[in-house]
Amino acid sequence: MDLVSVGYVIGAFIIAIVVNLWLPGIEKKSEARIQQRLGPELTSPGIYTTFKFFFKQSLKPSAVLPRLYNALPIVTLVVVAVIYLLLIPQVMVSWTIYSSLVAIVGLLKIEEVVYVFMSSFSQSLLSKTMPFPDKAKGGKHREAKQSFFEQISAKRSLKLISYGSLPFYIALFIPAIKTGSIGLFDIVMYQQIFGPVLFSVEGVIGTIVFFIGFLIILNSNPFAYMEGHSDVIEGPLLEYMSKSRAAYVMAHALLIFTGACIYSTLFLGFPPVWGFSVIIPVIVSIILTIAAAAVSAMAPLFTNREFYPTVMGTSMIAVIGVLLAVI
Amino acid sequence: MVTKIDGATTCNDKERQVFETEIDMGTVHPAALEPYRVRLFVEDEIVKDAEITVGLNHRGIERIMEGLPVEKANALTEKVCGICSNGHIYNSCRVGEGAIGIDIPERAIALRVLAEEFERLHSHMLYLGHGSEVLCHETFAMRIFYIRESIMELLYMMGGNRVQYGISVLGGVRPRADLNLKEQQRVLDTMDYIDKHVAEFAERFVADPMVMSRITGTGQLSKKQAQDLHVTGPSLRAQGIEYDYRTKMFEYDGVDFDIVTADGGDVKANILVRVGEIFESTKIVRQVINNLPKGPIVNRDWEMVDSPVYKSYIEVPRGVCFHSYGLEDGKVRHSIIRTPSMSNIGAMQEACIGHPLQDAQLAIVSCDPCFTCTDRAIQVIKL
Amino acid sequence: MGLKTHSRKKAIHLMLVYTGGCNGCDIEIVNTVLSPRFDIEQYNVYLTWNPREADVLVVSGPVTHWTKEPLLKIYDAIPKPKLVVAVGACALTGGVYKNVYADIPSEEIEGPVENVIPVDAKVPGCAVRPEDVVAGVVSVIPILLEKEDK
Repeated sequence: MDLVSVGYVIGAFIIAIVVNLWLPGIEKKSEARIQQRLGPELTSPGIYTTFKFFFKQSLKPSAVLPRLYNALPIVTLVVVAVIYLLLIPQVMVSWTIYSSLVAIVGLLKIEEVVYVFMSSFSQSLLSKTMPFPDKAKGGKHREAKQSFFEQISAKRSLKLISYGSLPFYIALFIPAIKTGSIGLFDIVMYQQIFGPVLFSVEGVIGTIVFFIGFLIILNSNPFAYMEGHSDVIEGPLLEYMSKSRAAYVMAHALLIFTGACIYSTLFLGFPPVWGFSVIIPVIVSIILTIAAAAVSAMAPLFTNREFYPTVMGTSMIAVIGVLLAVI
Repeated sequence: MVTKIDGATTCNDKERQVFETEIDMGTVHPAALEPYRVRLFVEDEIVKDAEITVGLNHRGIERIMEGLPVEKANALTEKVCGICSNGHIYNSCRVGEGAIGIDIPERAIALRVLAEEFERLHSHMLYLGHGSEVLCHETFAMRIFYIRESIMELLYMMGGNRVQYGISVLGGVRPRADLNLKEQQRVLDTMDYIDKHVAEFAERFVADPMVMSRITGTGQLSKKQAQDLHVTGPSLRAQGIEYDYRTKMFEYDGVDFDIVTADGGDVKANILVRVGEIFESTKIVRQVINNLPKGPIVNRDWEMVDSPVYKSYIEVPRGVCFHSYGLEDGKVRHSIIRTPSMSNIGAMQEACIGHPLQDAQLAIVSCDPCFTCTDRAIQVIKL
Repeated sequence: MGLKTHSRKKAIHLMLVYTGGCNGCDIEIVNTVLSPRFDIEQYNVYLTWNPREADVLVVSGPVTHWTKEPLLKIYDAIPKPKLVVAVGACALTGGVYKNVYADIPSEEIEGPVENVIPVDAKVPGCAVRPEDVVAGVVSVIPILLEKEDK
């Protein structure tokens, strides 16, 4: 890779940072507008929340291995940034072997696995350690083993790894089957010549499945199983404060943008670049954010009872898409 | 003798049951708001047993009431609860009036019924809003809170405060609570507004397959369990049992209304009963406003007498509420308050069992908990 | 105004701790956040239930005996800069629950909140009105900017 390409890569990252700081604001604002209220300023949930957390005092989190726990959001940030890096055309050309769908799937799996560590390390004040005489005389089952509710989150994140993200990964492979290659460069080139994958039946099916699967990856509302507001409050993220929380906010926003870039690369043939055509991934990311906000405002939280059939049904649809692509 | 004691401690096998883990929620928790502790005994995310501990909110209101002049004590009962505050002051005044033997003017009775029905409306809407919030469906919660504001404004108009409006006084209602013609028209308009918008809301709520899948079959109690636990109020009517204490109250004599029941006893039935009761309440309000008797609103013509303990039951939004006290030199003695949530706690504990962890909080909320009022007079456990 | 103070002004996380009382204030506060009519999010104030995320701790209720320790622990868990807003008559004075007979303090009530944790702003009312809560929380923002970091 020569120096000019490095410059292009840095440019693409600048675009990513600029866009992803705005995305949480767009999400909150569109959610508020759906609920018929004004909502916060566009800049507030993304840019200023990140900076505010960055400048706060950092106490020692009540977690097992506090330093490692604090480092985990940075791991997420790095992983997501690497996924983004692989999508940039200059990298695609020079590292053709690495920039394939397999790398994206593997890296996203790491992003999911990090949640298991987060939730098993975190030991928040709000459940077990809340000062209250639980073992008082007359209480039920006084010998029961208490645990933090992050442990429940840990189990849920394992479930998410085992089957929750299945539809997303199947949807990723629909363009690969259609173009006959898992290399991102080949997929992009195919679409530059023959037109986007989206304009076909399997492309449309893939888009729908991609969207639902991506909501699961994002832990957005109907699938916010792991960080359910009504029981585990925030689950794995409970003990993050100041800089590590800022890192998490950044990582989450970058994940939204990266997801949009994955979509526009695989289904539209427009990878994120330092140039005019970056407008397409940016528009995709804004549409994706607004759609995610609308779904999250309009849906209740799913329990396992609804979650499992949804995942299975979406996977079935995805398999149909794959079969169509093979034919 | 020692063996006997050992036998006594081990005979209770259910106590010895070992669970995979215990998850505690509270005392600060988004789904709860009120300070209480719920201990859920969980096996693979399925709740096997539950225990709700109240008592954190003990303030000793009955103790403070003891020896206060009866007018002051009545005003104090309003501070038992911030949701059904009118129910408490109303019932407390009823006790005083029964004990002393005061006749209440007809217009005052009508105004009290109005206040009570307004309170039922706002409490049921709060229930719907809180339920939607626990379902994590914020849009529904926002919508119902927005509709609720209209009834809060009526209460503000009538009592001068949004939460503790203190309509009733001994012998009638406060002069401020009297409604002139313009205000009566405003009440009728608001009832139309509520009818229209709650009907829209309910249609959308029932038509949403995701919400229905969450609430159907969740938090189910059997009819027998409900009767054994002495469940009261809308939670009882959601079991299909037609019991409403309003039918036995003299205030509701000339008023025509139906008792809303639903079958199933799950969260869905609970919600439908409350939605149905909102429409019944607006019906009652319209009847009362249209037949509002003329005349004085307070009877000042009475003398204080000593009285033994007098009891009074009324139907508040959550069920049957009990107040009792005796009078001695115009002072309150032996005050006892029993709020409906007291008998619903058992139902909440039972309703959690056998459901995933996320549904446990929903099952508790479906019984419309108000631990704040329940908490005020329970013996605090000393460690 | 630097980036630090500006970002602090533009994003405020609010946590509610309810320490007893009659539930009235509590519902009115949640009303400010949940009802589209009062919508506190338009001032960039968000409700959170996680002390690690919070900037402003809103306390309602007279701090009963068993809620004192949780309140202290939650206060300690909030990273600086932090503020406490006491809301409602009970949180300000102990309300009707504080004194059993004229001046004999009730042993069940540890409040007012000032006795337990330092209070920066007080919002009176029984129960508080949502407008007052919004005004109270928004009025502490200048204090939040001047607070020391560590």
